[in-house]
Amino acid sequence: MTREIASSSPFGIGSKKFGMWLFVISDALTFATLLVCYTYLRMGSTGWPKPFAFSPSILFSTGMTLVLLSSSLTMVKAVHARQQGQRGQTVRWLGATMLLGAAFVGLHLTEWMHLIRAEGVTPWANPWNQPLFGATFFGITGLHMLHVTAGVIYLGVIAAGVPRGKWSAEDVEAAGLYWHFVDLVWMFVFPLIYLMSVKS
Amino acid sequence: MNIFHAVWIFLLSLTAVEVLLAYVNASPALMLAALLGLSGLKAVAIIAWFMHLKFEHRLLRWVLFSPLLVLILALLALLPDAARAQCVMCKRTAEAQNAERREALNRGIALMAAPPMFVLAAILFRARRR
Repeated sequence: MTREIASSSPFGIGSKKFGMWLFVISDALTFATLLVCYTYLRMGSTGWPKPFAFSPSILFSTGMTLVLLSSSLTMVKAVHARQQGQRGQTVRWLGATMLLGAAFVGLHLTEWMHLIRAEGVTPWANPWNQPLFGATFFGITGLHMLHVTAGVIYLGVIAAGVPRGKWSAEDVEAAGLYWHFVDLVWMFVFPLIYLMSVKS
Repeated sequence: MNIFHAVWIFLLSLTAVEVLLAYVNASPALMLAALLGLSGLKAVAIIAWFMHLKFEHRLLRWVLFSPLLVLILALLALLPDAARAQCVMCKRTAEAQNAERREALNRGIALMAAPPMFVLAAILFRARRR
């Protein structure tokens, strides 16, 4: 049935996947605009802080990147398992993806708490007298963290319905598109916000 | 091991290169260019394989990338503002010159602009014929 719908669509895919693609592209524009704003503000300010020491800050966020990258691989495996009709395997891989996603949020919050409590960086003030640093840092990473959290809930809803056959392979694939997108955004946040701000 | 494992390892290796750049503390300009290039490569790998776009209909690609093109054009509108800080000095210096030198400067600009314009025209011409 999905195949019939697919062949009648000018894009060769079902409407759910197409809808998710359209959402992803509009969300990509939001993040692209935020990152350009961040770069613009940074270029336009003098004395922009570079607060992240290579060890431990950069190594810590590199660990977060590895976790998120690996969660994309487990998501690919979940999508493939559902395409082959292996529902048990699908739920297991979705569970692994959710665990990695939750680990990412946990690590990220640890880092936030350290910045807020130990280094005195908040969205409105910081020791370097450059409030825009906190505003852009917490704004961009916060919006991304919100996406990861929403993604973990989304995958939970999908994983709960897969065993009783509520979700088709296309539903799982649409969830995968969202998850990979969240990973994709981090591939730009990590270099621009962390690596460009390594303490020299 | 299949193609998806290979893509995952590719992404991990590019991340390692990026972190290495931060470790050796490369100059900001080099770093920004290298990071954006590497991240662009990572984005392409994720979109093409993980998100399956490589295996989808060509039309989908056009629909998805046209908004990004519009975004880039909109962002280009910011360029004059970002470049103004440097241009002011050049403009003042040029204005302070006498008429003959100003004329020479204009000829120089036209001469230097010609080759890239010809290249651009050639590309547009070829693209139209395709």
